[in-house]
Amino acid sequence: MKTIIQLENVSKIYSGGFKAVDGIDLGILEGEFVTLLGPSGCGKTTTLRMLAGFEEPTRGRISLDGQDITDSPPYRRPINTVFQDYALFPHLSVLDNVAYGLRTGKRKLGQALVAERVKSALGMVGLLGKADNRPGQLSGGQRQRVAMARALACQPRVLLLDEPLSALDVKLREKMQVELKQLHQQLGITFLMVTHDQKEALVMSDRIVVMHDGKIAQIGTPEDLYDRPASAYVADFIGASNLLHGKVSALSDGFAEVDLDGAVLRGRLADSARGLAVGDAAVISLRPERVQRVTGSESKESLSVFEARVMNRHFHGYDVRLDAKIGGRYQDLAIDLRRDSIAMVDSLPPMGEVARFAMAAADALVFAEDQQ
Amino acid sequence: MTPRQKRYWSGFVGVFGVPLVWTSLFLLIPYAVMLAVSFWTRKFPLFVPDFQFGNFRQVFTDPQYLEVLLRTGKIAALVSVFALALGYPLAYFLIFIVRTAKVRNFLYMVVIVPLWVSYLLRAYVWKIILGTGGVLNSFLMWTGIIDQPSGLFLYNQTAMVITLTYIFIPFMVMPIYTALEKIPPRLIEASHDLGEGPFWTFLRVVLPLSWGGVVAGATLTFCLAFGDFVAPSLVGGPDGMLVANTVQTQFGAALNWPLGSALSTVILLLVLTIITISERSERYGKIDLD
Amino acid sequence: MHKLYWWQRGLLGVVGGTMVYLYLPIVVLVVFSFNSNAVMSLPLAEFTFDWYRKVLANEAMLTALGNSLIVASCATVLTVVIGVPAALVIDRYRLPGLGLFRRTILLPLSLPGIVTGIAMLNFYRQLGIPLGLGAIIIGHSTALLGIVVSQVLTRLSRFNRRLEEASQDLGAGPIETFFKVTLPGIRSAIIGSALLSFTLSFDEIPVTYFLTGRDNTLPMYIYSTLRRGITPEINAIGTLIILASLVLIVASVSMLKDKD
Repeated sequence: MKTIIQLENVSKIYSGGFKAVDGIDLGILEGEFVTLLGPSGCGKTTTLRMLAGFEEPTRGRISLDGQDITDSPPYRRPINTVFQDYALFPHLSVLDNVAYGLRTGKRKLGQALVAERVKSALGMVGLLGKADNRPGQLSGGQRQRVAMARALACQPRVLLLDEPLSALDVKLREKMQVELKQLHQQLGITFLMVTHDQKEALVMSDRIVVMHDGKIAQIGTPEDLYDRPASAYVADFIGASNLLHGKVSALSDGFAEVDLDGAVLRGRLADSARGLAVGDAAVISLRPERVQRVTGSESKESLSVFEARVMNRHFHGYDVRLDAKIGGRYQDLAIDLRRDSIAMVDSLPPMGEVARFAMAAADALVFAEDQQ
Repeated sequence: MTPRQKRYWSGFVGVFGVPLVWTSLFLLIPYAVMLAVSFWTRKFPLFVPDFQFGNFRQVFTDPQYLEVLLRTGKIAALVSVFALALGYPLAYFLIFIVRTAKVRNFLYMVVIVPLWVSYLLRAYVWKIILGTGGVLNSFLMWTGIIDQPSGLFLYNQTAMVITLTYIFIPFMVMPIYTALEKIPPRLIEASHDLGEGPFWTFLRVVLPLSWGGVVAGATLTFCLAFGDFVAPSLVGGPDGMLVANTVQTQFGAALNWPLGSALSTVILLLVLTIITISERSERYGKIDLD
Repeated sequence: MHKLYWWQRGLLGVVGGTMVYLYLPIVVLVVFSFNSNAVMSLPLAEFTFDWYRKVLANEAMLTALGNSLIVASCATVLTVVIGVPAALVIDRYRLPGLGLFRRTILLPLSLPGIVTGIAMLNFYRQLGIPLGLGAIIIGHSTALLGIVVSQVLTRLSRFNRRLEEASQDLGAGPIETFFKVTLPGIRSAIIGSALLSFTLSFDEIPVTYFLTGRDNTLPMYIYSTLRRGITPEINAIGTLIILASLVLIVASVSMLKDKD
């Protein structure tokens, strides 16, 4: 597959000296669904706006299909955007909104062709019946669809989606995630989405670009990011992780033991942590759902067993979340236990008591301390 | 320059060219010319370019001009006070007592509509109400309260204050109304909830939050009244002439443009000072409600 | 109906009194325009249309009215044509000096009209520009520019800039975007401020007073008539002006309503 968009050393520095985007390199393949993921202020939206042409990079080059488009204005780029608040023209009907890009600038199509394209775009999102309504008369989900139809009617090379589902309620958002993904598969157009919602990114994307402080923290498939985070930051951001600080007490072929002042946890060394030596400060990252309860005095060879004091308990429906303290420094440890039977809660350790837990060493990752 | 910057600046010049030229030519330069002329010397019947402070000295030392300036200040202040005394309750009533938005908007329109009705006519009508043979006198005689038409009503400072207050009340109501409108009713409920009665709630919550509107309205009213010359010439008597009438005379019968320009410059500076002070105090007392 | 507190009743009294103060004079003006007695005193004499007949036969008055309409129309067009781009630049560009520019444009609104009038008069005299309707039009459009600028600026500050980005994103250049997206968004502010400019220009005296040559505008005509003595004819003109103003207000209010 060929590269459609290439960012080379792109930076955006605002007049106050604030580096919104700090020298990123990124290639996007034709037909991919790529998501820029990160907390607010990480530079993901600025990156998207530079691709759309609303912001000018301070440094670096952006090219589309091998052509430099760094300096071309938004109205000359074959790229369209679905805006966060949809930005539907309130004074135009749904039909005129969708037809807007077809009757404008260089792309002035004939009446018949416009009608045909609008019809197919509205049909695609299932809103043919609303063509004569004003945006103000539509529900949130319908507006979102109109915004999609309006952008897609222009048949862009790349579709940019700026937090497209953030204004919708949870149920509708999940439904739209599936619809968007299907639409992407049908059309074969390259999608580039920005979101701060890691679940949404995991569900929808072919590849995810995690951003942090204007830089790219990691690029990879959802599975890569979840199972092989490159840093403690990514581990924490993708799915919740416990990050526990301690010292390396033992090393053995790709695994390390981290001493948390009393409790010792065993985990796999991350690629970036190969250089760790015994005695170095390290962070061990452990997902709450990977921890199991150990009852009685049983102990399994493959599991690393440790003790923690249960402080509090929250009912989450499918799971029960325990807030626990581990080690001599009483670090916070969240544990999610599967509630596989209704009676399970009764067998939980009482609050305030020390209980035994275990996890597989392969499920925990050890990073060097200074990586955060 | 990158192509993008070129687009940015060509857009700037294209859009801004005409307004900038127009404003400089017809706004900045005329004020500058007026300032220049205020330093000229009068050689009857002409004026010659010069640079001397004689005109300004005359304005501030000749009791005639000083007196008229002080009188104008007094009248303008009285007008502001009366307009505030009538305008604030009106705005308060519209926002907090009237319950339906429809009625409120209608009444607000009713208050604002006189602004659209000729300013000259609104001054003139007081001439026919207060005049010797006018409505008030004939009404009082008709009802037997007085038996001789009284000349006390018209051509004095009271008549002027009445007329100017009448003309400028809407300017007072508008900013106060806007300020009161922005106060969330919940704040007043919160004050009541915390045990404060209507009077103290007004003093401790509503008044501080509408202070910006009061300052803006008072400033506007004061400045407009300060420079008016039409109402005084219609309803003001010999002791009712304001500074603007004096300016008017310099450009008419007295034919002393340099002095008139100097007086006008003084008015300009005075008004600018007042506006600046009021903007400062408005900003100082500004409380962000969002 | 709930019981009113004493202070609410007092407030009601003040409000009622103020309303009477605001409207009684207008009632007086209208009533006496239909009163046959040339002296405006009570009790009223007979009902008559004579004063209206006289007004409509008054050549000088009609000429002045025509002049006023010309002045107000031209000044309104100029304020819009100059004011809207000025507001756009002030809203869009972050440059030192633009704040000063905005303050300068808004200055004549808070300055007494006489100052602007005299500044203009001095300026015209120095340049040798003859006084007359042209001079008045320039004076009015400069003095009233701030109305359009402030109204349009207020609207622009609430305008969603994403809509313009969306338009450019869909392929429309800056000019096309302005006419297709921005202009519809600020149209009601432009119409409203244009109507206000028209009314204020039609009614203007302080600037006009100093710039008028041989041609009188309607307010100047009335003003000079008043100095000679009062006649019920003025009341008839006044009533007609009030009527016209009301029509304008209703028009502007309904026009502003259908947008928002």
